[in-house]
Amino acid sequence: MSQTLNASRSVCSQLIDLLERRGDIARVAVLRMLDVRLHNPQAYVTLVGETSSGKSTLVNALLKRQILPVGAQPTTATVTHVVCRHETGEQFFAIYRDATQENIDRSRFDSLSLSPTADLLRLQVRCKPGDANFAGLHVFDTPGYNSILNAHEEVLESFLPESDVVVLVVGYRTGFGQVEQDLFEMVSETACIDQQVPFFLAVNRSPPSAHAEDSRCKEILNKMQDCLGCTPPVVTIHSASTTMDFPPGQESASRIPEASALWERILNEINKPARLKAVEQKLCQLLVNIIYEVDFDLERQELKYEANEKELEEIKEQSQMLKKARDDSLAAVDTMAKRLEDILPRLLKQGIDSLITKSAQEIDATGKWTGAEDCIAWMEGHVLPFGIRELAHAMESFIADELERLDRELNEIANTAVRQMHSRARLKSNAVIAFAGNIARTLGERIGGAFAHNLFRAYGGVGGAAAGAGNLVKMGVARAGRLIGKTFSRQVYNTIGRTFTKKFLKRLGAVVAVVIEGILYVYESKTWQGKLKEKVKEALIEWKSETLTDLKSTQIPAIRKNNEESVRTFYDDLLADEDSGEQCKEDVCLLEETRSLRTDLASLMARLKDAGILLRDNG
Amino acid sequence: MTSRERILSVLKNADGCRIIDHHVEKVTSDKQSPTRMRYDHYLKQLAAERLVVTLTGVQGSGKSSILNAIAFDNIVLPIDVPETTCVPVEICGAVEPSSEAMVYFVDGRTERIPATEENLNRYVHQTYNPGNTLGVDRIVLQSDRPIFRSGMVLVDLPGTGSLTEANKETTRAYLDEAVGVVFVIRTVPPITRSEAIYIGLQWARTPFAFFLQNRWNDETFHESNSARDHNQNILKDIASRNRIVIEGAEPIHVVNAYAALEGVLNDDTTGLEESGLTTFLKALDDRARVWTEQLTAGIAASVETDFITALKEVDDSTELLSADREQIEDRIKQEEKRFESYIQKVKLRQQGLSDDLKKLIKTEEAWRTNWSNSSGAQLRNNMRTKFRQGIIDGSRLEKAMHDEESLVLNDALEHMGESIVASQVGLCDIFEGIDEWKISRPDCFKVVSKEERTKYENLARPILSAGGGVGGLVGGTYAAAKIGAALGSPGGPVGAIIGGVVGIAIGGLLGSYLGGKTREKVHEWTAPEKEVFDAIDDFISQASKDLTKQIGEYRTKTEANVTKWKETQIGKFEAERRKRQDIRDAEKHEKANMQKILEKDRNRICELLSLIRVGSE
Repeated sequence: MSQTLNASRSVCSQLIDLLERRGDIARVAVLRMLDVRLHNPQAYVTLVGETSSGKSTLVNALLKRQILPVGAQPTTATVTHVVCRHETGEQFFAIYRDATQENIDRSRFDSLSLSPTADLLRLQVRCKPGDANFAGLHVFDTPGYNSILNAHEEVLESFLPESDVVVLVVGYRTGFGQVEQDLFEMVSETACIDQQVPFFLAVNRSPPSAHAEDSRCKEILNKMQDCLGCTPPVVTIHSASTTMDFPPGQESASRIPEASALWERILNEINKPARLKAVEQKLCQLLVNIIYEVDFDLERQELKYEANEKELEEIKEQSQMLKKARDDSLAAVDTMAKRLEDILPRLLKQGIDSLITKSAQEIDATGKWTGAEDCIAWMEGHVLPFGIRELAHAMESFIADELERLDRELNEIANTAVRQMHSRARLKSNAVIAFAGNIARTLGERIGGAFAHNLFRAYGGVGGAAAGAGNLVKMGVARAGRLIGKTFSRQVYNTIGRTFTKKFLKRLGAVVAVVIEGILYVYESKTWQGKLKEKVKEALIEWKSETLTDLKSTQIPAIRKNNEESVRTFYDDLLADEDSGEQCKEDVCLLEETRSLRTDLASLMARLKDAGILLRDNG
Repeated sequence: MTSRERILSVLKNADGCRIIDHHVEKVTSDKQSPTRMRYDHYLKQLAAERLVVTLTGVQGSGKSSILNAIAFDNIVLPIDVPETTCVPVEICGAVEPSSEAMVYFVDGRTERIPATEENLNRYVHQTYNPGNTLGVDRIVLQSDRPIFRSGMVLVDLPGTGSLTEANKETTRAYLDEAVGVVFVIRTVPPITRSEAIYIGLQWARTPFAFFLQNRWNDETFHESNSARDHNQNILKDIASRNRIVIEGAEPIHVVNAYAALEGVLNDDTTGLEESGLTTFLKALDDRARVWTEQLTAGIAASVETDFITALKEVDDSTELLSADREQIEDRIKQEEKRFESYIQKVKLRQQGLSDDLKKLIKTEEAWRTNWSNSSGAQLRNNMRTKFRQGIIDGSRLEKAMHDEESLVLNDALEHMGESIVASQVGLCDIFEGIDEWKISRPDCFKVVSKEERTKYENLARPILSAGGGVGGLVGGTYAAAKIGAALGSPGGPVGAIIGGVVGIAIGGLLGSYLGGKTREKVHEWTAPEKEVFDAIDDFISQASKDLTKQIGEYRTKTEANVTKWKETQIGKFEAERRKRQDIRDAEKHEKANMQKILEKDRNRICELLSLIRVGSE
């Protein structure tokens, strides 16, 4: 390991000591994870694929024993997090939505895997992999993609952006159908937050004669390319018909296929020098960001302690300006959300009305030369989904316009506040100017996307941190990028908006299928058109009301909440004193303590600099 | 004499025209007089026979209802036509309006038809005149409503969408002539991305713009206000993206088109007022009348600059006549030096433009590659889904494919529109501060204060583009440069360039022709996958080619316009130098003769100048 890494390690542990003295629980938690990560190489691998494509089997193949339940029926109904480590022995955990965890036994694990309780977030297994080289690997086995849409989205959105490698699993015999197309289009959209994520295509359960170049695999790859926009390496995994070298008496062992080719390639990918270097850089950068934040924090403290009464008053005025900026920002978010609430339902209604008219026209036009069956296929296969896609597109671009504008407005508010703080400083004393400068630098960093202070929140607090599910390296990128910056809210839109249309279509498919189902068998040659029109109208109206509910209760509140959180993340910690109404006491002890902490910090920075870790110019 | 009459007399004065030709434009007498052409254009504008205001808005915006309410007592223009053939319809004022409409055809024929909805439908309805196979160029109607008394002519212009080749030029000519534009926007959906591009392009080149948001009866006031706020924000963005100077937020007039039409049909004045149309018309009328004054002032400023420049040229020549050979040589050298540094500056900016355009071509190419790949993939996936659903029949597939293609194509066109708009703004930056080549004499320059400049800003903008279209009217581009010079603001090549390229951008956006083209190719489908996928490849490569062509054309024309502008400046300088050399080489008696002519010209100039100046004070 490099010198920089060594330096980072020791700086990290010193920083933990330093912050513990200060009682900064949140940052200590993040640093502890960072500490672990600096000592142990890790990599996050996520497996996705249709139900019963054999994802759990592939994980068992990595462990060289059957740990995850497998079967012909869907057996994985929740995400299972497999932590590969050196220690022998297997431990099973249930991790709950409230960030608590529970050590459970194997049978409880199996039953939860089949039918998870509502409060369960995911399952975790800590065990030794079949080959010690794989220690440090975190593998996420996901439920198969089926019609439980919302659950699946959550899975994709929370795990894919944080994965170092994504394995796409397709059954050789079942092949690449509509379900795969929908799933992998979604995967590509979700994963593209980080465009560098390497994909592997695992063609599972293939016959002994199959290979990556055969026509079946090529066909699968072709279709996969159209979903991903890139060409993943193909690995075929043969069905476990031939026995492997397992201890006698373990019948289940015979069901474990030989998949080392796949896992070896994954390991190679993970250990690529370029990737390792990038990881190291990201970790160091994270450390540097935290140090700067702490330094800015302490500087502000120090300035407040040092300031005389008049200066303090002016510093308070400055904080008021900042507070106003935050409140204005929140108000801007509110106005935006209200406009969405006003306009989106209207767009929806209008779109559906015109789609109902259009559908009726299409049905009328059809009868003249073709029959009911053909017409239903036409409606289901083109007219309705195409109309819905157009509608979703209109709604998406409306949201995008609003968010882009909000983005500019929020940036403007922040910049204006910073300028005002500078120009309105009457005293022009060092303390006041320095305070304004500190705020300007801090906000500048944040606009640039450095957001270490929010990582803690991103982890779901202490509990989430302890559960250790987050990929620190990826998180630094994905989370910070998703917050403020040039793309203040654009990112929020991306995560919500990109899957918007897909969600729409999925729901449409379900509704239309149910409503139209019966009609094929009961239609009469004379009346089917009228009936079909009625049914289509019924389906669209039902879809509209479901979508409207979803918009009002989920989508718009989510957009509002995400943006509010962005604003709060941006300002709140700077206004902690202001918000709590706490007075800044002139405390000689505090001042001295702060000063000594800053001195310690300065020497930490110097160490990092000596180790060649680039510190930004703090001017 | 009113100021208008005075400026008219200056414009009509043949002597003045000759003087400007000779001293400012520096053309020899055997050539066609550019000044005459320009002044005739001014005369036409001042005559206020036509004050063209275009109305644009997408299908379903309520545009036709509004026009009917504005101009007629009953429904004349077809409303609720799902697919109109895009034929421009012009409505102009008349004391005793004809009950007939005049139909002009592309081939020059005309036809009189009764001005009724039924009859007009035969020319504008897709069913009766699909793709404008009848070759209609435009339709002209008359109205006796007071709004037309200012000379205003309202033109119902096809918005984005399918503009047939046949009347593309007519539409462009209307755009060039327009001094105002009314954008009819909807409450829901609010301004879309394509609308935003179109609005930006047209707004930037039209002296004044009005925004009319239609509120249908089933849209509540609350919704309409909310949408108006959204639209207002979008307009603010469009303005800043296109460098349009506006004071605060551009007001949006909310009008209930249906109520307005009802009000007119039932002779219900209260209803009409409540619809919001009356208020809007008043604002439009006020603006139109103020515009006439502004136009007069603008033209006066432009002509004044002409004569001031001429005066300087005359004084310069007079001075040289009494100078000795050496002094003249000095002066020639001095000017050569000044021109050298001027032209270097121009060339440098030209290079900057060239680099920018090269970059644009490159980034667009990269974008297109990406678009081709992802659109191809998207089309294949969407068609696969349809196969799985059982859509394998030829005509069905064809229709489905056409729909899908139009979606991805629209993305590409929107993107291209936005790129071109952005490129134009960059172009303004590049040429900032570059003026026409002109004589350098410190005296008698009209100093324009900053306030005055802002006052003229909105004037300069329109004239900058009026008539600047490809092969458009001659006057416009000149006026742009002239007004720019008068204001001391960048009157450089930007006007000429932008005028020339916006047409291309608009042409590019009217691009549904592409879809039509590929559709023919896919006609013979019998068996799906391979054939469909081949057709997708064809479509993508054809679309790519067309997009490449469009952006290439934008680049070529932009560069050509700059080169042409530069050459004009070189020509002017060379004429100046020739003039000085002629003076240098002239015999004594020739000099005396020259002196006499110059004196005569000078007197004439002063005479005309005082006429203009009295007017402007």
